[in-house]
Amino acid sequence: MIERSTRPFARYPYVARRFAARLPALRSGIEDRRHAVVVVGGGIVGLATALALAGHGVPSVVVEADDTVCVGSRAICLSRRSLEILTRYGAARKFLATGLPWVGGRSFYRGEEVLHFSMPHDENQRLPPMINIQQYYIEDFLLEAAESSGLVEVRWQSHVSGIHASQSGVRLSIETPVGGYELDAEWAVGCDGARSSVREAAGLRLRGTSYEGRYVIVDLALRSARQTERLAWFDPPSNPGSTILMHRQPDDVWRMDYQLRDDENPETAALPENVIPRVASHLRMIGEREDWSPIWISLYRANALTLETYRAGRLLLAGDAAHLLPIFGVRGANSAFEDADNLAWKLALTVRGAAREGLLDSYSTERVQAARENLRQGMKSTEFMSPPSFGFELMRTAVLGLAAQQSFLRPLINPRQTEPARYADSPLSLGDSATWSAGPAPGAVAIECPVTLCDKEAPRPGHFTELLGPAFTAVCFTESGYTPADLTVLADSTRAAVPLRAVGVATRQPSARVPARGWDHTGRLTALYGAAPGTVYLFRPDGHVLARWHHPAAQAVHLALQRVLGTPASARGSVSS
Amino acid sequence: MTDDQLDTLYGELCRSLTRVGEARAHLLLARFALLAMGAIDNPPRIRALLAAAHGCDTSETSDQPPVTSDPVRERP
Repeated sequence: MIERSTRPFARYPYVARRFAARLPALRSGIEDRRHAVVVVGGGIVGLATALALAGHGVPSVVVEADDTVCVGSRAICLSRRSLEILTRYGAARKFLATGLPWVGGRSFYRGEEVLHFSMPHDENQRLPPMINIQQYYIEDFLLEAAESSGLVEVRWQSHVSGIHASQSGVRLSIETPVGGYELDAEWAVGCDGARSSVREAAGLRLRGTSYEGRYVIVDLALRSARQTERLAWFDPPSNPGSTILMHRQPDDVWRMDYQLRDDENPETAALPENVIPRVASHLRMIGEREDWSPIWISLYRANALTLETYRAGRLLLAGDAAHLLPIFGVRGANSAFEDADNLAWKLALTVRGAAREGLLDSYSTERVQAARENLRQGMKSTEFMSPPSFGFELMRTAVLGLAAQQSFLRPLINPRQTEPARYADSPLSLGDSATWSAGPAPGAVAIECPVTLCDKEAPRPGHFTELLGPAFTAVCFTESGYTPADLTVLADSTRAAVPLRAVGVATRQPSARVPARGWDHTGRLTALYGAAPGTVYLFRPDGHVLARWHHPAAQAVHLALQRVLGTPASARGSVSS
Repeated sequence: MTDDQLDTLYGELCRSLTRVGEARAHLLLARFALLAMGAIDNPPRIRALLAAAHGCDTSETSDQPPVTSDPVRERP
């Protein structure tokens, strides 16, 4: 953090818990038990991976160099998709209670509004398209959920000093203030950020583009009645030539970032005496009269980098260790949640011997594909927000000057916010064998819709995604709500090794005796999914569609699962119908 | 043209301008404007677009009032 200066700094209104270093039980300097999974790094992606693994019944140990969650100016936006993932693992409540929901934003050029955008949102949704929440809350709530699962052990102040991977497992050397030891695990997940030691041990290198443009990022304490939305100013009268972004965060904390000119020295520009007048000038321009204090000042430079594979034998990479995405479009933390969600169920099935190791290669294939799409969108956002060359600069001036009158140009100003990944070319997905009038294609995520939930005593209002747990879920549309008998038999027979649930959705009001789980009381769900009685959608444990059929036999569902599992290494995992 | 297509073409134009360099960029844009005129092939439309293009950022480029025209009264 930068030295305090002309205006006193405030602290984040958050007190972090501190954790002591601990040594496990050792035998000759080596931990006396071998772990299924060790997660290196206890930030967002590490804790999310551990939480998701716990959701699939797999214990893990998280090794974190720091003694607390990350306090400082980091991620602040969580997408609907991330909230859906948290909901599936039973951890969303605190995020929703603390975070500030928002649906859109506005951009200004000089004094004029040139864009007012909304993210996809309608009355079918259960969750807001985005919430703003500080990273310390994100990590704190993830930690709490992970700890309460009873399956996650976080080891603080534990620095990984050596990684040795073999064909059958991984040995880590760990240094702590109370001594060092070695730890054995079947699998290691590198969630250790941009300077990942797991990535280095795997011999993998990030490739892509690093941008020259520098941003100053300021968190500040300010009481304001302004609503929560994304605000952008291009060439504002308060700071001519600059681009300024503002976001409200919980507890009267605001994020402001602005671009530095090419001829500015970043280190000098980030000194409080240079930052404070610029912030003050902008707050004055937008009519904020309350006193304010800086909390944290940092410098940012956009990167657009990814590894070509996220798996090297027993080492797996996730989050910033695997890819570095530009901040514009808020893809960093949100793609980390998708990484964790994608990896956890595959790792769980592999650890249990229910699936072949090759399933983990699909984690890499799918998430590298998602990273490439994230990079494509993130680079376009960056090229607009922070023009990398004369051509982009000139054209942006033209777009901003015309956009107030020419609506067709406004999408170029839109920040292209993160969207759920579509695993269109996934090796796991079964291509559609029939034509569909609507509905999510294989590889896409579920479409949200209100339904009546009938799983407990009294029917109650709910949403479709509540029918999907951290398991394979065959959603069967039927008139009565009865699940086809052969699918029920299949689900029962796989239960020991592979969690498969057959869930009936009634298209007519089900009678009290029918074990339907959902009732499409509006008819909207059936229409949104292009469904009719007999339709089955098979969802993966991460909520993506694996396959869909108009009238499948249970054998078709069985084969789709076998395609995912491969021929399992252990007989325990075999699926028989 | 979809938003995504516009986005892609926009990026291609930006990169073309950067490639030819600042000194020759205005010639590239002039040539593109002529080619676009030929492709649009509609004089009132072209005159209206020119007026719209002129209408922005005049504070920096000219003291003259922007060129105005009434495309409705134009005849091809």
